[in-house]
Amino acid sequence: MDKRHEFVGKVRKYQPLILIIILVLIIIAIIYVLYPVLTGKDALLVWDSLPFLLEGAVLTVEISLVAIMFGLGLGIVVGLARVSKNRMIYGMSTVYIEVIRGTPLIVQIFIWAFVVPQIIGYPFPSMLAGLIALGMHSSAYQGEIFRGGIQAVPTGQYEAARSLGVPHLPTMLYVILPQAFRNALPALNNEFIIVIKDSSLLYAIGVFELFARGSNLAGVTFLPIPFYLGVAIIYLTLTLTLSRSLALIEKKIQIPGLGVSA
Amino acid sequence: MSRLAMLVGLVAAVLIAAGVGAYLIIIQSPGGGGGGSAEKLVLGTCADFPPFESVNITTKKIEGFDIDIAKEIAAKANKTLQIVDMQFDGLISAVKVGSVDLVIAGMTITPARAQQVDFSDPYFGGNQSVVVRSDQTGITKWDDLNRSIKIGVQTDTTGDIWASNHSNIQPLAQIVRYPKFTTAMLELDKGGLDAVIIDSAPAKSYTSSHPSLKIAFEIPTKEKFGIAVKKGDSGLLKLVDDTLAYLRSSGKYDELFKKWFS
Repeated sequence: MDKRHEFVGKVRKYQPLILIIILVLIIIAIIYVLYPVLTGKDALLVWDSLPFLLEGAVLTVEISLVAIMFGLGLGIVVGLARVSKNRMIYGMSTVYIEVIRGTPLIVQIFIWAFVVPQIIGYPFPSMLAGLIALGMHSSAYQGEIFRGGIQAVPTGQYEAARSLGVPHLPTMLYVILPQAFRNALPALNNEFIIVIKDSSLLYAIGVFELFARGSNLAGVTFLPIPFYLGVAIIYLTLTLTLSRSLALIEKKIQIPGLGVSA
Repeated sequence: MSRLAMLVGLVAAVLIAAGVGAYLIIIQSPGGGGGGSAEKLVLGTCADFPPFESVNITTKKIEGFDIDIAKEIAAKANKTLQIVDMQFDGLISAVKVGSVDLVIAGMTITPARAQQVDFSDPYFGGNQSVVVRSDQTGITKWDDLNRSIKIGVQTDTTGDIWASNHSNIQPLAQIVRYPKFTTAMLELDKGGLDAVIIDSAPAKSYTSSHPSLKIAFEIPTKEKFGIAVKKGDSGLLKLVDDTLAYLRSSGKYDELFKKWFS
């Protein structure tokens, strides 16, 4: 084992500890900044607002879950289409991904909220527009993650299966895809966190989620410090909970001795 | 081919779960079914405009003069009122595509807006005010704005239109446009802006609840506020006008005026 491997090994071993230390430092810093507000004359106002913010956090979680699942279902299809040998399917999925990846999410949200309803002449609620925009945005990224996962499986495995007389479809289903899903998991973890954070953009079309509530209170009370920092802490709690639990799953399904871990 | 069934099943299950989740979120969100429903009246507003509409710090509910008028209209229509809080510059689009039934947001009747939506009879008149920090002595009249200062407005409001159209304010002064007045006021309080142009009534409300701000002077724009509905929605427009006439004749308008403006 050379020096570099030794170092990487050590970092891995102490990773949870390092994470906890960083977290504790962040929390100490935030409490230091918040302390005067949380104990001063505005304290009651801030503490009273907590349930109101947490209601928003619940909505954020609900929106994110739906968008993640919508993106997952569509993402698997798009990812498979991206490795298809059929020119049509490959082309269509490529256009889909490039269009969605190449335009800002906030623009897509406004397109779904205001452009599409006007074109089809049928009103739909801004919440639906937001969910579609967020879910489709995520599906393009998840599609690319699945494509990467599939292509990361060595071609030798496909060739070996085919030379043993296994047809194309079973080879994909039984040999390639199980490994591809495992490869994709770390990147998916990252994408899920992005969806939670991106859900805050829906405040612009009138979805009263966590950030919208915090921002509104900050503006009404002229107390930006407790509300924006409070919102940040709540988001951090959500994303950390998700990423840590997915890291556990990653560890569970990793192949012993095959290195790639969270 | 059980694996294929599993894959298809997975995609279908995830998409169905997303669909059910989306449905549950949408029906419980304000304006969930979109406008034009038989049981509910969906109001679009921008809750940063006290005393017309703002979030009550204690109850965390949107309240104000406009909201009380909306309640009267909903009562007259025998529908339940749902409030969607969004950016001011999205309100006209929202009523045009029908995701809200009507807009009451301290909106001035202008010819440009009247081309996009139908306005009710005017229900309020007002001017614009220039709000500055209390320690500011350099801004007392219109000409004082003709310097290298930063003036905050809310996008597409009459303050924005007025400031943008007035040649003597440019090119020296810089106009900064915000999606919400609350953000502009926060920025002014912090020192990032030198003045904010806002309607006189909310200007009074902001300056009385925040002693760090004061009204420098008033701009006599003599605007008329109207309630906006989708173009051609004559049934709702008549209902709105009838309610306004009833409020005035029954003395309820004066009651509401006293409640919110004294």
